[in-house]
Amino acid sequence: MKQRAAFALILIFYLLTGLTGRAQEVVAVLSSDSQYYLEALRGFQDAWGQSIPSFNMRIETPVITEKTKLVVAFGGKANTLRYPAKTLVVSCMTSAEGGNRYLYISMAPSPGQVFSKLKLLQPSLKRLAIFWASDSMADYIRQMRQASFSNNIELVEIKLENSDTVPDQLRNIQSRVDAIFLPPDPLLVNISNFATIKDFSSANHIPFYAPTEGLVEKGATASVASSFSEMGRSAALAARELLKGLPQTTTLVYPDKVRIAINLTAARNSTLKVTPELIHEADKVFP
Amino acid sequence: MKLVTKLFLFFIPLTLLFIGVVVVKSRSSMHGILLNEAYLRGLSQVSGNAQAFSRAFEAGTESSLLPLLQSLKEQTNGVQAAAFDQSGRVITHTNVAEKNKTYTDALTIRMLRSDIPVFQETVVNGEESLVISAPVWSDEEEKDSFLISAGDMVHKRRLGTIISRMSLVRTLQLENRLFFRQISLLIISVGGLSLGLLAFTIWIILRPLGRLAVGITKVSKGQYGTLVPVSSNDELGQLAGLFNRMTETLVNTTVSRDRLSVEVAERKRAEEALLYSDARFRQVSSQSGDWIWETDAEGRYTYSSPVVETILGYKPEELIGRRFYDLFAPGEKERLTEACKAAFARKEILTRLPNLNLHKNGQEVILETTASPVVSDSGTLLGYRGIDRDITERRKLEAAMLQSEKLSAVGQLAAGVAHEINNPLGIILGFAQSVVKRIKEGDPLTLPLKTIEREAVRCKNLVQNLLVFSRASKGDRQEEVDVNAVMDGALSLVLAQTKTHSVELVSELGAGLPKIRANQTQIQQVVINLANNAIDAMPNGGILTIRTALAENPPGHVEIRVRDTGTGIPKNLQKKIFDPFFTTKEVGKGTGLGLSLVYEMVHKHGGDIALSSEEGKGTEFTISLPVHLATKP
Repeated sequence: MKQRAAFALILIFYLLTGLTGRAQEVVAVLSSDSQYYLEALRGFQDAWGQSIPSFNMRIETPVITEKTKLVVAFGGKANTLRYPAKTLVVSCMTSAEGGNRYLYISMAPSPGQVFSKLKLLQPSLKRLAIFWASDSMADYIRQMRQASFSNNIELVEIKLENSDTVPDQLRNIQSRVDAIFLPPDPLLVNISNFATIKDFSSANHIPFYAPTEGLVEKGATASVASSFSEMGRSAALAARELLKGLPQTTTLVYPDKVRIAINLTAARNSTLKVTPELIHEADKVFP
Repeated sequence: MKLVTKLFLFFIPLTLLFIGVVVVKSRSSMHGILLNEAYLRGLSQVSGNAQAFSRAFEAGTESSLLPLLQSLKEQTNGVQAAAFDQSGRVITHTNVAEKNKTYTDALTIRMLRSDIPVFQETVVNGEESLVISAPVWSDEEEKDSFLISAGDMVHKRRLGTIISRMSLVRTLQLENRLFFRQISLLIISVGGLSLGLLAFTIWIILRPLGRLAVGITKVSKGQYGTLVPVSSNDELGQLAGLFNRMTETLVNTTVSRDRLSVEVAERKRAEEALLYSDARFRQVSSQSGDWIWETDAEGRYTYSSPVVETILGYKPEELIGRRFYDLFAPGEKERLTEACKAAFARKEILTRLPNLNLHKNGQEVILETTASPVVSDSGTLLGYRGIDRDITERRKLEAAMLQSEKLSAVGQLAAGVAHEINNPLGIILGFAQSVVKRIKEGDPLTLPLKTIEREAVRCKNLVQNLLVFSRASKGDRQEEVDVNAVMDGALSLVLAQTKTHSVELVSELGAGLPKIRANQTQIQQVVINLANNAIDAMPNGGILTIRTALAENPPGHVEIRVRDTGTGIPKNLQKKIFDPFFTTKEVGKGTGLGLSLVYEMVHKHGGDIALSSEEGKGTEFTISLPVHLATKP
C-alpha cells in the first residue's frame, strides 16, 4: 500500500516537473496583446498540441532564461528582443533581420504560389509592378523575379529609397503595368503609401494586390496571403523541426496555405474580371 | 359642391401639409447638416494636429499644449479649448484660470470615456454652442502595425482628450438665412406647382367635363343630336367620342323608339282585344248551355267548356286528352266513330250531327254536334273546334209530340168514324133491344138477337171510347173529385172480372188525399183500362194492386199505381204500348186503343203516366195527377 502511494507521488511529481520543464522550453513572446498576434498564437498552439507560456510585451517584460530552448516571437518588438545565446527563435509577423539561430515565418506566401494565384485572379496579367523598401525583402524579391520568369510575367521592380518617392514611381509606371503587387514590407506598407497606391489603382483601373486580407477590406483589389493563424501553425511546425535538431536549409519558411481575398467594389473599378468561378475560388469576398 | 371647389379643397390642404412636412424635415436636417459641418470643421483641426497634440500631451506642459489649443480655438472660431487628462482634470485651457480644475459633468465624462470623437449641441450661458471632443493617442506605433492591423486600433495609449467649444451663433444665423431662403423657394415652387397642377387639371379635365355636362343636359332635354368637341386622344377624349357616338345612336334609335312605341301600343291594344276576346269567349263558353270544345287532329280534347260537367258529368280537365268517340254510347259507338273519322279525314264540317253519348253516370245523352276543322296555312288538319248541344230532352219532347200528333190524327179519324157509326149503331141497338124485349122465351131467335144486342152494346162502348179518345166525347167536364171515391167506383166494376180470372184485388188507398180536379168518368175509365190489361196479363191469376198516395215526386200530385204480377212487358215494346192500335192481344180481343186512351186522358188532366215493367215479374203503371190547392179537403 505504501509502495503504491509512493509510486503515485513520484508519478505526479514527474508529470508536474516534466510539464513545467517542457513548458519552459518553448515560450511565446507577443509584441502586444493585439488580436492578430493572439490569432497567430492560437494557430501555433493548435498545431503544437498544447498551450505554451506567453508574454505580452505591452504589459510585462519577458523572462527568458538559458533553459528556454525556443522562443516564438510574434511581431517586430518581440523579434528584436535580446534572447539568450543558445535560445532558438522562430519569428512570426515581422521581417527577417536576425542571425542564423532565427527562423522566420514569412508573411508573404512563396513566390510560386503568389504567381499561381495571381494568374488565377488575373489571367491576362503580363506586367506586374512590385514595390519594396526593406533590405530584408531583397531575397524575397529575387525569388519573385525567378518565379515571374517561369510564369511568363514581366516583373517591374520598384525599390523605394523612402516613402516620399512613391508618387513619382507610380507616375513612372502609369499605363505600363497590368497590376501592382505590394509585398509585406513593413517599411513600405503604411497608411500613407497604402492610400496613395490604392487611389492610383482606382483612378487608373489597375488591380492592386495587397499583402493582407485586412488591407483588401480597406480598399485593395485583392490579396494573395496567408492568414495569421496559418503563420502560427507554420511556426509550430518549424519549431518542432528546430527542437528535433534537424539541419535547416533556409532561415525563411513560407506558410503552406495561401488564401485569396477579393474586394468586389475595388475589383469592379479595375480591369479584374470577377467571375462566379473566381468568387468560388476566393476564401474571402468583401462587398 | 362643384368639382373645382373640391379640387381646391383637396390641393390646398395637401400643398400646405406637404410644405409643413418639408419645412419641419428641412429645418431638422439643415440644422443637423450645419451642426455636422461645424463638428467636422472642429474635428479636422484636431485630427490635423493629432501628432502635435500627441507630442504635447507626452510633454505634459502647458507651454506645449496652449499654443495648439489657441490655434484650434482660432481656427474653429471657438469660444474655448481645453486639454483634459482621463480623470477630467484640465491640463491646459485657453482660459488659463481653468487649469487643474476637474470636470465631472455628464457631458465631459461621456467625452472622456469615448474612444471616438464626440460632439454635442449645448447652451452655455444662454449661448448655443457645439462642444467637440477628440481623444489623443500616443504616437508610439510599431513600424509593421499598419501592415498587420490594416489601420485598425492596436492598443494605443490614451493620453487625454481635447475638448473644444464653438459658438453656434453664426451657424444658427446662417441656418436661419438658409432656412428662410429655402422655405421661400419651397413655397413659391410647391405653391406654383400646385396652382399649375390645379390649372392643368381644370383645363385638361374640368373643361372637357363641363362640355360633356352641357351636352348631357341638352340630350336630357331632347336634343339627341348634340355633339361635343373631341379635343384630345386621352380617356376624356375617348369619353367625348363615345358620347358623340351615343348621341348619334340615340338619334337613330329614337325613330325606332317612336315606331316601337306605336307597335307596342298596337300590340297592347291587340293584347287587350285578345284578352277581351278571350274573356268574352270564356264567359260565353262558361255561360253557354251548349258544350264548346276543341280537339287536336287525333280527336283528343284540348279544350272543353265547363258545361260539359252538366251535360256529360265529366269535369273539363277529365276530358283533356281523351278522344271524343270514347264518349259515344256502346250501341252506336262503332258507327259514329267510323263516321267521325271519315269526316276528320275529309276535313268536313259537321253540321248538327246527332250522336248518342254516355253520361258519366251511365245514362244516355243525345248530343247534336256542329264542328269545323281547324286547318293550318299549309292545309294540315290541326284539329276540330265545335259545339255540342244536349238534345235529349228535346228528343223526348219531339217523341211525345209525335205521339201526341199521332193520337190526335187517330182521334180525328176515330171521331169521324164514330160519329158516322154511332147513328146506325144506335138504330141497330134500338131495334135489337126492342126485338129482344118482344120475343118469347124459348124462341130460337133469342140467342141471335141477344148476341146482336150484346155486340151492339160492345160496339157502342167502342164508339164511345173512340169519341172519348178523339175528345169528341161529351163527358169531358172536370170537377173536384175524391180520388179514393173514384177508385172505389172503378174497383167495383173490376171486381167481378178479377174473380173470374182468379186475380186477387188489393186496394191500398191512401188516407187524407186532397181532391183533384178531374173528369170522374175518365179517371175511372183509366183505372178500369189499366186493371183490364193487368188481368189480361195474369192468365194464370195473380195479384192486382190499386194504390193511391200523395206523390213525393213530383210534389203537389196525387199518384195512382196499378200493379200486377203478370208476365211483364218486353223492353222493346215498352215504348210502343201507348201507340194507338198497338196491341199484343189476339185479333178481336183488343182494339189497341186502351192504353192510348189512358195516355190521352191522363195528359188531358195535366198529369203523367210512367211504366215500370220487368218480364216475368209484373208491371206497374204510375199515374200522377196535379192537385189543385183550392180544393184541399
